[in-house]
Amino acid sequence: MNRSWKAAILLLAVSFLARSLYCEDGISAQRWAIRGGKIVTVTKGVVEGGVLLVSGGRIEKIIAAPASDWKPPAGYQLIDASGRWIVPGFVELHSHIAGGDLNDMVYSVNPGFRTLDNIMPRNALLKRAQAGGVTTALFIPGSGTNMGGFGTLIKTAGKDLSEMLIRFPGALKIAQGGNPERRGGDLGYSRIGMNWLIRNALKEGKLYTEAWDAWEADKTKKKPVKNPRLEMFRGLFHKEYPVVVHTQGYQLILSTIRLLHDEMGLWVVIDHGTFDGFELAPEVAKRGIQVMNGPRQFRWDNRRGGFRGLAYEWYRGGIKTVGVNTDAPVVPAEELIYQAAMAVRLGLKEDVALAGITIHAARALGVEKRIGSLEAGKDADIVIWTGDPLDPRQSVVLTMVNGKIAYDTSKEPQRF
Amino acid sequence: MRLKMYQDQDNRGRGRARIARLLLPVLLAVLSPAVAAGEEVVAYRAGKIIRSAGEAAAPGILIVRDGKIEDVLAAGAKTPEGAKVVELPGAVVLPGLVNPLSGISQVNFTSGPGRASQSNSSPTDGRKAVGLSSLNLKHEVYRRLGRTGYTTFAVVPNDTRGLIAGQASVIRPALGKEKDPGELVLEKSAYLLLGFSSGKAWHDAGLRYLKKAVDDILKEKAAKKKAEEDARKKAEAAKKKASQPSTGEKKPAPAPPPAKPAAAKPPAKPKAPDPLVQLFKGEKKAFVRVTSPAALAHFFVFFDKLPIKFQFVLVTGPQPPEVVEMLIERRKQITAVILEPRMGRIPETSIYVNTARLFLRSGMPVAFVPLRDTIDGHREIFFQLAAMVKSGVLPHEALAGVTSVPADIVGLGAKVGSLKKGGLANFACYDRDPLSGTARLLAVYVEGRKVFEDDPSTGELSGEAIR
Repeated sequence: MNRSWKAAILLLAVSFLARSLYCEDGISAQRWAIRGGKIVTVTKGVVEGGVLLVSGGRIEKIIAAPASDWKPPAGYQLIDASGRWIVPGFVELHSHIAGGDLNDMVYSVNPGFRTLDNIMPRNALLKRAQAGGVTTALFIPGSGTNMGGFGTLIKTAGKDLSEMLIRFPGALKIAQGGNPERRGGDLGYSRIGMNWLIRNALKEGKLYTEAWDAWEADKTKKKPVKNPRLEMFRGLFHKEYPVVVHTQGYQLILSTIRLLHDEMGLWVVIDHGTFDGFELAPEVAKRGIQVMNGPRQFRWDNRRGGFRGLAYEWYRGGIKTVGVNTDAPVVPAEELIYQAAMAVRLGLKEDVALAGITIHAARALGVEKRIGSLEAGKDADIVIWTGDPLDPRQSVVLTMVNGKIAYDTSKEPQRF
Repeated sequence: MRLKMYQDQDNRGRGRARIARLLLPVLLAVLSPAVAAGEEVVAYRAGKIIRSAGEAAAPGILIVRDGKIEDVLAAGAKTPEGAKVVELPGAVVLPGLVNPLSGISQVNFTSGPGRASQSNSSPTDGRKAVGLSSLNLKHEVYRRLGRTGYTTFAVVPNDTRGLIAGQASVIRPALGKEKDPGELVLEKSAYLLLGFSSGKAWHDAGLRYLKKAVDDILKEKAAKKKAEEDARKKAEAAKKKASQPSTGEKKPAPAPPPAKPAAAKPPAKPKAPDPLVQLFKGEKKAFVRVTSPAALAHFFVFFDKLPIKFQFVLVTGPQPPEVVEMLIERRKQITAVILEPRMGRIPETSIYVNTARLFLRSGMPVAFVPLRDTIDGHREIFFQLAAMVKSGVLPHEALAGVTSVPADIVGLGAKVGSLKKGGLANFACYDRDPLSGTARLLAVYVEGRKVFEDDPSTGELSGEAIR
């Protein structure tokens, strides 16, 4: 081997090593050993004083009881989290913060719309989400119209969209009542009109899906005409992604159950779910529908007197996986944990509240194998807190998304 | 840990009420003399008692006699003989909270003197409006007040509106047996609330109202001075005359004709003092609401022109640091600050600032009012305060901001805001440190009477899984 070959191999080795240590932006190392503290895995209990190893953007493993003289393996950078809480990044199922202009009020149903094109990586609101420990957000259209379009499931940090993207379409957004009644769109601002609009659009989508299914299964010789407006309905009716529904109160939720789940057979997630909607909890639970309650967390009960904690009422009625949301920026993104804390104060168990914004939220979107807990093989979306995140006096010290440090109070001048 | 005493009241309530209705006349007949003659003493044995903000929480016994705090004893101390003992194991007992500025009970304020315009932009003169006159006991809000942890509210008719918004009455929650709104009132007129907004209309109206009051005082002073001067001159003249030697005998003056008996006049009704004039004389407390930095700048230009100054409590919003510095320099005029527990922002940036922390570090007392002036807004107060603590307010400062500081600034520090001997037995019981955010309000007592008890059917507390 001549000298130039040797030099070339050496150069390659050095560059490979450098790449393995530093990510592309040249700031964050790829391999981390987070030591000490309380590792709250959510799914597999709490590990006190353990070590969490991160490499290649994923959680490599959790060492439950490291030896007293344990040292990080070569190439791993140590993060001392003694006295801290290490918690999975939170999953926000109702968010509008990754970009703007999400309410197009010309038509009432807009199945062709998508938020994917509106995403603005590195915007200031995403930074606030990171500062509140939120690492995943379902970025959905607004609720000004009955069918706002398809949302995008993203991480809250990343140098560009490709790094942030988890799934598109993330979910269809339907608003059954409330905001669309403010006369958005061309037709149907009464509930009777809105139900007609939603049913019509979904029926059209279902027929379109069935036509393509028949063609692909060789059951027909007539090839359907491609319709970009209806194309994303095919994944919806194949249950590749859910419909997240802006719905609240008994009457609307009854309509959600009947129209979207029972009649259309969709994978449904209830967003908001407030007022007296929880009275339908047994019916909702029977159908396996997930509920993300909020951002209103309580209600004065005129019948029985007293305040009702809504998340707890859903839980008590059978939704054991209930979560909460902020509808950010309606409630600031970094306050998702406040919503959970409020739910705890009004009756929900603390572990349930934490699971509701981590693993249960991830499961509601079918991404529980990737995110939502601290387990080997999952995305390294890790947040280090000064203490119990359910205590509003505690704050985030460091947020890691896909194994990269997105927010670090030791370097970040801004506090939230 | 939940208290044993908090069993489901809803289910038992109806049966008990029926029995009580049947037995009440008999019981009253038998017990009335004894109750009237004896004094009721109750000993509340609590897991932790915070006597006042800044004092360490410690297990103890709160002795209440006839609605007032008689003493706070150490945990092992002997309770007074004959005292009824109420066990509150695991409860954190703290003074009932005090809201120094609220419009929450002013449900009937639709007409009358000083009613503010609904547009919220009119510099109205509501100096004659008093919180007490707008109370309506038929409304259920007075019973609900107690379920917030707050036991004292200074209520102003126009609240956020009006250049002279009105006079604050300090009230307590209803106990359920009141027949007259006056029974709720601890202080009929605690202070006068002024509000300033920027703009010519407010500036002109401010000049009209405030300068008129100042002119009245100046005129009164001038008249007094003139009267004194006249009296002095008269006395001097008399003295001079007396000292002059007599030059001869004068004829006695003819006797005046007998005066006709004057018709008996009714005594003149004393004129009610003008609260605005009282304010300038230092006879009445002043609260001044100026929210935005621009309005503050306008207000002080105007205020500095007044020939007589007054001290006031400033009610304001979150401010950037330079505005806080300007306000701190006016420490002689501003005696305390009332804030909502929320962060301010440095203009044209997204950098957040804790205005309360800046005031507190300069030694300015800060009282907090809830973000929303509603029953549920009041219930959320510790949650909001916890966020303040996260960004630099010390826990005891947060607690003082809803207890002792507001009590002092409305002039009722001896009665409410702490668990002092001789003070009213107003206290709230939480299941854990109330600033933890997940703390649950268990019970509230007003003058020794329970006005709220937690409903256990709304939830069970746990947390062992992660704590």
